[in-house]
Amino acid sequence: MFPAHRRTIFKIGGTSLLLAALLALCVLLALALGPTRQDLGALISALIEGPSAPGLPAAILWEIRFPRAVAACLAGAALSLGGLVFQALLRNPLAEPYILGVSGGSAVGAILGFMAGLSRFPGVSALAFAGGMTTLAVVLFLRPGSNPLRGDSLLLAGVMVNAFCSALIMFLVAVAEDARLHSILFWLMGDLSGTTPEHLPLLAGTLLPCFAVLLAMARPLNLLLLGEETAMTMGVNVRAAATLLLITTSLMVSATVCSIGLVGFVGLVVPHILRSLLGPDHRTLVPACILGGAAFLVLCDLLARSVPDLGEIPAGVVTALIGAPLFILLLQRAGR
Amino acid sequence: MTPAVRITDLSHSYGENQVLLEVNVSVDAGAFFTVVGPNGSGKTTLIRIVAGLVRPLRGTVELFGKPLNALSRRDLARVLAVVPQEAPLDFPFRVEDVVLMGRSPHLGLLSLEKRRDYEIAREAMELAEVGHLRRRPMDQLSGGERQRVIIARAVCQQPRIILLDEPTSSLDLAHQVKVMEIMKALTRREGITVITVSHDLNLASIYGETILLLKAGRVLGTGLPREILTVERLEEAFGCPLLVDENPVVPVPRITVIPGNGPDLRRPDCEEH
Repeated sequence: MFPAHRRTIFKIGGTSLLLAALLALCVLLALALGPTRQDLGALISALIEGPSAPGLPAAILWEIRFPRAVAACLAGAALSLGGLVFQALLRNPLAEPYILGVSGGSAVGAILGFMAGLSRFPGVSALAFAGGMTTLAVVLFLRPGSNPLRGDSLLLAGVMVNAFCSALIMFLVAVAEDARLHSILFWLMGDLSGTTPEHLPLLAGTLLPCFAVLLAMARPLNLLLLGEETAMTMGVNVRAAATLLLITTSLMVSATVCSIGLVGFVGLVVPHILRSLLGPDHRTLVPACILGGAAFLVLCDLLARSVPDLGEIPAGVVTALIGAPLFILLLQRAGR
Repeated sequence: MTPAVRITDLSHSYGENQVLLEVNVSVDAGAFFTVVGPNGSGKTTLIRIVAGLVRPLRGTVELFGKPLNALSRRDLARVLAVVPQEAPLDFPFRVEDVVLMGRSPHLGLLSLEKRRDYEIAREAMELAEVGHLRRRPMDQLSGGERQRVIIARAVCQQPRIILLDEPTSSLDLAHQVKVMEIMKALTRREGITVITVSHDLNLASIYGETILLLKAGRVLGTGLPREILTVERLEEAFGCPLLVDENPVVPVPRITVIPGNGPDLRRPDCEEH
């Protein structure tokens, strides 16, 4: 048995290592599998030689599969983390990363971009980001009261903004040209097929600092679970902490949504699964959500693009198809 | 000696409703200080102001000579710990983890608890008699056990003052005595100043070294139980007939309520007109 005071560090390290191994496995699968069948030898040599290697296998690996896997990692991590933080902050098990209306605003922006005939990157992405940030500003700064956590006002404001945006989305879809509907629909369901190497630095550059902030906020998040006032009397500046958490998380989610669309369910189910397995300590859960969420989305995206004869299906369809039954299974187990 | 808490000309109101009016109190370091008074007398507001949860409209609070509003949340948490009435359980941590959270105001954002922090937590758990529950999740504990875990967490914070808001209100008799004995031990052994709000006048009488009696936001008296818990003051404060005599077990006042509330209640058949 470990000495008592080392237990936390062993738990954090152990789960992180395990999930990192799982993630590595998923990424390797995502790199190796795809509609173009290749022999393993070519793949391995392309993998070892790096992006500059000549030939088709290397091009497929580094130009198509690799950026897509990286985007799935980043997005899965960001969405899971977003769900984790919102569930703790709003003390609501149904909270998910889109709950504050970021999704609705981004979708309106993205659809306008598609209708104007802009390319997926940077045009649609930029409009989606602007839309997401607008709704966040509306929810955060126009809500009643000064304390972001008091009462359900934040939650209700988010639900209302989302409802309004849904109406706008339906309106836009109704008047959009048929030719654009397919890309709009795929975007709304979440789709990683448009990922290109050039937009990865921007995505990583936005998300990685957000991950770092949330890792540092793990202890205050734990204290917030004890109740707002208890957290205050234990040294947390609740208003500052809550504002930082809300803004970091929303920024992270917006950046994700604007690059891959509205991949649903990852942010709801991954934090719940990990919490039921690992307990409520955020010092373990934050790194676990980063790694586990990444692995989950890489896997779902791999399935989304490799179902034979169907072509591509949106990743958001697969996340819910796998996530929902898994979640119900866990709920049943926990209820016993 | 600098008092642990000095409250000067403190007034507070919620809108039109005046809850505290020109309160002046000073609590000696290491004292067992109990605030009593009827519902709505301002006890909880007073405690919440001292805990830094409510900013008073007028007046000042000093902790060991330092103005309360000059302290950051973190600095305040190193001086003063709070035991709230109840703890939310929707995220069930283990007992040891809850107690260890008391170390937070002493730790950096990214640093983990060290051997020393675990020792402090273990001592706190022993003092609050919850060491045997270390690995149990909080939602599997009884009310009395849970209350003692929260006390252990407060002790683990290594504060100089502990505030308790009605720590015994939901506990059975044995647990009430246990909690009060733990608090008494804290004042004796660790020199911690304990301030509690209590509805139980007899427990306050037995354990409180100093009693503060509040009525409608004003101080009716501060002093020894014998001086404050008199029949005149208590009947004035609570507005109901009481019997106050000597407690046969310890030489402090014993308060007994007198059932009924005037002749028409004692004899319901007797109509005035």
